[in-house]
Amino acid sequence: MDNFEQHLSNQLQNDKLHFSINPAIRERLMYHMHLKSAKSAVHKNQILPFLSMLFAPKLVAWKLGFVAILVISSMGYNHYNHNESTVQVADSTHTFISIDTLNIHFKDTLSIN
Amino acid sequence: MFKFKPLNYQQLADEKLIVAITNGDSSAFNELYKRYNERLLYYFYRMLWNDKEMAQDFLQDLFIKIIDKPHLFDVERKFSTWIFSIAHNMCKNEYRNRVVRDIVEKGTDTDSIPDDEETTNYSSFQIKDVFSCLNEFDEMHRTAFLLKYREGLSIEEISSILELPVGTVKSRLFYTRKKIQKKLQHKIHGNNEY
Repeated sequence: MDNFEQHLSNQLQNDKLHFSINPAIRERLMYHMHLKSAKSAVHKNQILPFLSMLFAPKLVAWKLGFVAILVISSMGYNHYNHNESTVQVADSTHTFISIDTLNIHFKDTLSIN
Repeated sequence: MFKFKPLNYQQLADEKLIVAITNGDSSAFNELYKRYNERLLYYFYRMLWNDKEMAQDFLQDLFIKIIDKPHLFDVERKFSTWIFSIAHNMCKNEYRNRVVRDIVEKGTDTDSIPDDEETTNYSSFQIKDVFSCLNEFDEMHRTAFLLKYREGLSIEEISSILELPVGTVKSRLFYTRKKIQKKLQHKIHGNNEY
């Protein structure tokens, strides 16, 4: 940068405008930004994009794999958590009670000796 | 114990702020506005025939564009380059519209340049003369000149904003500078210190 260029650059960089920005501009812009941001927040809360993503054919193998893992793990969970007890009520009656942590099943069977 | 620290927007780069704006962050926008409003106002004011009302309107329009379409920012680019290219395109459109409306007369429009008293803080006589000379050039020359000497952007950044080859930007800057230098020399009472 030669002497003239340097001087020019200094002059321009020190140049100031005789007026300042109308503060209403900032207010209007901030209001516009808040509106946009509120709209964006509402958009984020919508469940529709999530559901459409869930049922879209995209990455279907991964989704099926994930569901399969869930099913298998829940089956194993049920298998190992059964508390079974047998109560003899009478000679000819056999009551089988299966207790599950989530569901309670009563299975009554009748056995004839 | 882990505590969330409030985000210090002043320390964030422009590029991070625009990403935050894309996610609807108003504070990020406020910070970006603080950083650029004066620079852009000056740019519009000097590019748009020293019309302060028009400069403020353009400034507002530009920031509305940023609010509405922040996703158009290319993360590979520098933010300042992007914002000045939007400003440049807005001015270019205005020049085009003026030509269509036949408002601008061909040649120098030095009558629109306010007096020294109005454009305060001229640290010397040259600034007014510089802009008087600059008004003789088209918007490409003026933009290149302002971006180089006011904003201090590199030739590569200016070339990206104007979408011109680096060599063309260099030659335009050289030509503008030489012409201004020549005109100023006549005004400096024969003092050829430059």
